Amino acid sequence: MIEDMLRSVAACARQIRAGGISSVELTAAALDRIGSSDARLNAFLSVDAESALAAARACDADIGRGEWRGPLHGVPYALKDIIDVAGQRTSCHSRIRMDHIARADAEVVSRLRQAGAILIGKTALHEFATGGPSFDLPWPPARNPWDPNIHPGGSSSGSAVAVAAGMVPLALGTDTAGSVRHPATVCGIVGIKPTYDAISLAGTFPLSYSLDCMGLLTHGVLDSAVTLAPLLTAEAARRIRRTSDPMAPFPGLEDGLGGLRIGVIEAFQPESEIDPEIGAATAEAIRALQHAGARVRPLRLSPLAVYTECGKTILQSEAYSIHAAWLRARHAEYGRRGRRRLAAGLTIPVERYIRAQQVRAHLIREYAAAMQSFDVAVCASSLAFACRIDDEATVDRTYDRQARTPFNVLGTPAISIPIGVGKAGLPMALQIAGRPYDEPTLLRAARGLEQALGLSLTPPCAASR
Amino acid sequence: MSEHAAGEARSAAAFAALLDRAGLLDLDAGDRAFLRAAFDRTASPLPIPEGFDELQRPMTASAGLQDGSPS
Repeated sequence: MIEDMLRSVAACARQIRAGGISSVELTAAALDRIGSSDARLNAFLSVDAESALAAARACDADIGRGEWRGPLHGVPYALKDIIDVAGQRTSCHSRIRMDHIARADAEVVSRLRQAGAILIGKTALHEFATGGPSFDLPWPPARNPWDPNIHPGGSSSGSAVAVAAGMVPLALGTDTAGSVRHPATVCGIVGIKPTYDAISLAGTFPLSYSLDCMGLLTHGVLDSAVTLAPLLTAEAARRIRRTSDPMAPFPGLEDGLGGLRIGVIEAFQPESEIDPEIGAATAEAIRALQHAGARVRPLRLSPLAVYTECGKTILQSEAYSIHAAWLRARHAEYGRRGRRRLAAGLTIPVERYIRAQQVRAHLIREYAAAMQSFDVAVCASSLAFACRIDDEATVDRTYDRQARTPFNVLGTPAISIPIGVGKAGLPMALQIAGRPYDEPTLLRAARGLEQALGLSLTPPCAASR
Repeated sequence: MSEHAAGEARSAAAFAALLDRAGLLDLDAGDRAFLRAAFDRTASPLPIPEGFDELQRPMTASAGLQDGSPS
């Protein structure tokens, strides 16, 4: 069924390669799905159906000639509207960039184009990837397909919503303090940020130079793996172990959890902070890892607040340096939440920023030392459930109740995997983090967990189509 | 003027000077209050991990992020 295929990059790839479906059929189905559901979910800021269908026709012609470019060939995808596409607007979901037309493709877009992926459109985000859902911008915020009244997470909101709602099997986002893993967690899909700089950020509008990371949103771990491999920079491709099989591009992906040494970072999910239902689901997921053969032990790191405050200080300082001139000259053109968050960096003295970078160096050493005894680390992703999208105070509070920022501070790869749905019908996730450039082990653990749990989460809006 | 009031006055002056330097003197009351709260938060020290070396070289670029060996 074509709608099932829109929920799996790997399934699309197999069918396109085998001639079971054409890229034009898939692209048309994606466009239909967007047409029927995006008026409620606001995932997309722009959709270019004509270009997408033209690209799909070209892909089908390639396949007809026996030229298969790999797993992304003919597969529709969506792009966070902070990433450049030649000739298209990169709005960053802001009035400030309404007239900005990109001259060239971002590096990652070039790679996707070379791989034959079909760009369907550009997705909603928090203004300049910060702030939170806003109602005073030129476009509305994206809505959660599990409940449109609920915040879909951010800042890569639209990308996660487009995937979770079955509009496209793949979307790209950026992750500076958890902006891919947060919406993945609360929309019930898989979100991965690889090692810092493993995917090029050239042509992507920055939020924080030393924390930003490109990330992928998909339904499954195999989808993340087959997408990640062709997007790696030359340096990352040199350092990350790979196979020659594009459909199983990292060694050990299907080896299961047997023998894996998994550290539980209890400091990142303090009992006083974590929602009891999420805490119980996290413990249950960790037991599933153990039952599937992993050796699970506690992993000791500094308290979550040390990592979070370090990351926040660096993020706010660097973001302010990027926006200072616009904040001075075009203050009123920002949305209220975005301009406040971006301006907050001006209050950080330089010695505090430097101290945060010193702390960061310490934490990187701490993690590297701790991980000598482990293959991967696990902890909760969100410590609280997503709340109503229009409850600004609670959105702000829940934003800080998370354990994602540490892995931006560390620059290590991390992935958010769905582990169930809570009593109120909202998804929960476990986060797995790896050693730098050890994406193969991270993905093996994530794939193992996915198989151990055997979940297939479908949000109500996607099920009722 | 009490010591507390004098401290408040110094802090308010420093905050106003900061906004002046940033060219943000015309903020509305809500924005001003938000930034003032952020400014006040910077008065409390950044949480420091156990065993932190005050002369630890800072992470000033991406170098070392990946392999845990910052210069």
